[in-house]
Amino acid sequence: MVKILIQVKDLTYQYRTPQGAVQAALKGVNLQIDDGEFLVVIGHNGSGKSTLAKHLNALLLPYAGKVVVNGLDTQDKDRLWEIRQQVGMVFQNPDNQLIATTVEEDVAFGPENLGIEPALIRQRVDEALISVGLTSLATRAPHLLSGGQKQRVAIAGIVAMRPKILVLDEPTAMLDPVGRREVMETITRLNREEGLTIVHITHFMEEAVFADRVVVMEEGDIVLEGNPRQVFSQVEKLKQLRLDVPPMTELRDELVKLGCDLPPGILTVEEMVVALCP
Amino acid sequence: MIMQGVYYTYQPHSHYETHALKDIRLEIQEGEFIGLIGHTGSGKSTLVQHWNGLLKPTAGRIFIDELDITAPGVKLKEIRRKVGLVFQYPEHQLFEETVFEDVAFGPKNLGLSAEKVAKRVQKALAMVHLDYEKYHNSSPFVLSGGEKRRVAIAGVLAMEPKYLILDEPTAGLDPRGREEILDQIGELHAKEGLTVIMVSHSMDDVARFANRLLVMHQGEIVYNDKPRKIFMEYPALHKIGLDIPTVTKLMIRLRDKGWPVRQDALTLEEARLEIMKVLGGGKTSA
Repeated sequence: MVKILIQVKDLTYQYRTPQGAVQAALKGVNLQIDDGEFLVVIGHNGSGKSTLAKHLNALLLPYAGKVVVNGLDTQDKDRLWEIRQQVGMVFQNPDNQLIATTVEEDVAFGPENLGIEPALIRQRVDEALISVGLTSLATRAPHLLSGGQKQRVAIAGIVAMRPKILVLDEPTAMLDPVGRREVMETITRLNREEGLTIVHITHFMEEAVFADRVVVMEEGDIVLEGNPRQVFSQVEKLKQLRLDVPPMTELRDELVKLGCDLPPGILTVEEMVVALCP
Repeated sequence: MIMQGVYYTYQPHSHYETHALKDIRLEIQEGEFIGLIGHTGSGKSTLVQHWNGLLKPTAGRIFIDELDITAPGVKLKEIRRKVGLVFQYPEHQLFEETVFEDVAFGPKNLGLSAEKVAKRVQKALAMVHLDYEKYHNSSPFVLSGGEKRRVAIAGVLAMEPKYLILDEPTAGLDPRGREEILDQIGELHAKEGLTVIMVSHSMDDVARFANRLLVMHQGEIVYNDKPRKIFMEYPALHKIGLDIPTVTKLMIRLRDKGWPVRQDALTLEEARLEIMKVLGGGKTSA
């Protein structure tokens, strides 16, 4: 049986705006994340996706409801370090996350703070750099790297702490297409080959194609959920939410309206070619 | 707008000499919509910062409306009234207490009367579709990312430039914000008649609007042509780390399979027409 790693139950979060009004950011969210799953969360700015992410490692605590990580309730202050060690986070801006003068020192920062002995830190840093494919840049200064490389350093810093879950909050938003590809390849590999559970938050639809499951958020709640094909086949609903629909999915829809017989759930150019030229 | 043999060189005449721009020759006509595309580090941002005198070329000359802006003693203020430059993440430069004050900052510095300044602010906010009554008194810092960016663009528009240059105007925005900004830029070009240069990573965005595309690689302009023509060079584009629009990719793959479709289709509409031509409407190949 698949193990449930994160359990989010009726999660509500609200805060006060500077004007004093109460704003609900999450309105009773329910979500389970399985061990080894690759989950993509999409939604507009302000839909609550980042707020949800910050609940997964107790950066934010529920106003009502509950978040349980691998059996640990995030409201249990005594287990905070354990929770944070298990759920690593990578944020949007690579320049805000790197602190050391060389790549390997930066990656070592996390394990050092866990009180791991030096020889083992060395080993973990080396392994983490292999995982993200940056071994050759170990002694370089992080600020001289490209955006995609910086994000991979940030990911390596988390991987070196041996978490169970990697939560990425729009890690590709500030990157160019090459950097985005690098980051997506890295996290896909970590998931497929090393079994790391991934929660990837993005508003680039094409990145959701890699996922086992896609969750769409709008106004503080989950409005669509399923595997990428199920979610993207709901072209009208996605358009209503003013989210991007993959171009091939949209084209398939239009062709079907004109009487073509094409299978549902076409996402990529390759799939469209196969459908048109069997 | 003309560039003649423009070079921008770091540490010239030394061992470490590197050219950020190499022999740029370029002419842009009034009313054009130019897409400028290239990888990070290809020189796009360096190039656009030359258009309003923020950077001075190491060699070569630049003309705006026949004024040589590289000549000694040229008044930069004049250039900056003509050429509005919207930086990457322009919302980071918002600093005033209200939206009104922020947009008014430029025109005030031109020494215009309070009445004229207010008119310009109203007009600029209308151009980016922000309701004046609703927004002018609010702090720019409580707005959404997309709204902040539109306020920042309004600040540039309030200078009433003839040429508008935007450096990756959609970076970091969600799909809704991206669509809004792109539509408004399209409108500024079509309705207000501004000459637009848009720097972008997205071939899909550029394909929609630009009448001409410049592709930069390692400080040089390697392509300068209509988007459709350039996208046909996809193997070479791929080599320098650039993609082509998804629809064009599909067309090329279908051609490879022997379908008589035009390869240079850019939009879903065009793709649909081409595919239906082959399928003869209603029938499928299956």
